[in-house]
Amino acid sequence: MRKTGAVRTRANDHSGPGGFRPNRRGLLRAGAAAAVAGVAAPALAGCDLFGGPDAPPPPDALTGLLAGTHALVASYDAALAADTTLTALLTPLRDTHKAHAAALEAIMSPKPSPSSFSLPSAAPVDGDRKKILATLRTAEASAAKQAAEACVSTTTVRAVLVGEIAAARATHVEVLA
Amino acid sequence: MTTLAERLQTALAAEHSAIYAYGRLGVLLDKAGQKEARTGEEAHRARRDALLLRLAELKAEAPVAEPGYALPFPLADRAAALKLAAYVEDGVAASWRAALADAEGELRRQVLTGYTDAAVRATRWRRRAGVAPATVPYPGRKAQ
Repeated sequence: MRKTGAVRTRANDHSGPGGFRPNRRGLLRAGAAAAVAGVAAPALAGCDLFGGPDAPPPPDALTGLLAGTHALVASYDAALAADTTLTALLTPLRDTHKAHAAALEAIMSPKPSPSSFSLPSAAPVDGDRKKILATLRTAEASAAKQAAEACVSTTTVRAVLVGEIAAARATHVEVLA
Repeated sequence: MTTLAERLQTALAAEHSAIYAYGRLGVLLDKAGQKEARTGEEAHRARRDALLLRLAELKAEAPVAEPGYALPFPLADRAAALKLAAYVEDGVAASWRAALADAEGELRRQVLTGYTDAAVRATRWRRRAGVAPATVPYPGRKAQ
């Protein structure tokens, strides 16, 4: 019996053979997107309009998202340093952003060089616990929007990871309330 | 290969089961929890209706709600109700997450919204239950 994804169904399973027809247009559209993504990258990499054949390839389309992720890690580091009573709440959130940064770096091409992120040595945090949390909450809400936009515009292959990052950031907003 | 229509059918089945679960678990919660459960149920009904429209556009069959769903564990008290609420939201999140790669453009945005909303509600229920951390690094992903 097929699982519904949430609660196991007790009655008839409608997913058997002859049930739903596969949708060909959906298949074709997904294939076309993959093809476009595959063709676009080499074409851009070979672009020599503004430089010689040795011109470096353009940065990966996820560079902005990765930079935003590093910025979040820096904000959490600063907040953790400023108020030790926030350790239990903030550490898992900071570590999630670190995991996201590593996952993004693993799929990006060309590989981002560490020096490309001159991390703003996170502005020293001042204010009370409430103010610190409010600042992080605002940053997460804005970062969630950034990731959602990146998810909508990214390739088929990258949509799940970028979507996961968007959803995770939205859940962070929830626990910082 | 799984098609977009099949992904959306799975999401619809998950939405059906979530609506059923909220109908069962609400009575075990305190007043604030009941309000939250009603809001969640409403959100799943809206998502269900949007999915029905989308599947009709795709000329794909829409799975109907079952008269009953086997619950994953006995629903005896408030703790179990909170656990079930988080459980069904995680399931809904997983089914939407699985549709992300098959959808494009505006449809992907809608899929992402369904996914994100379920992930946020799962987090909210875990927080209400006192589970820490209430978040997970990759919402809806099976093994992590």
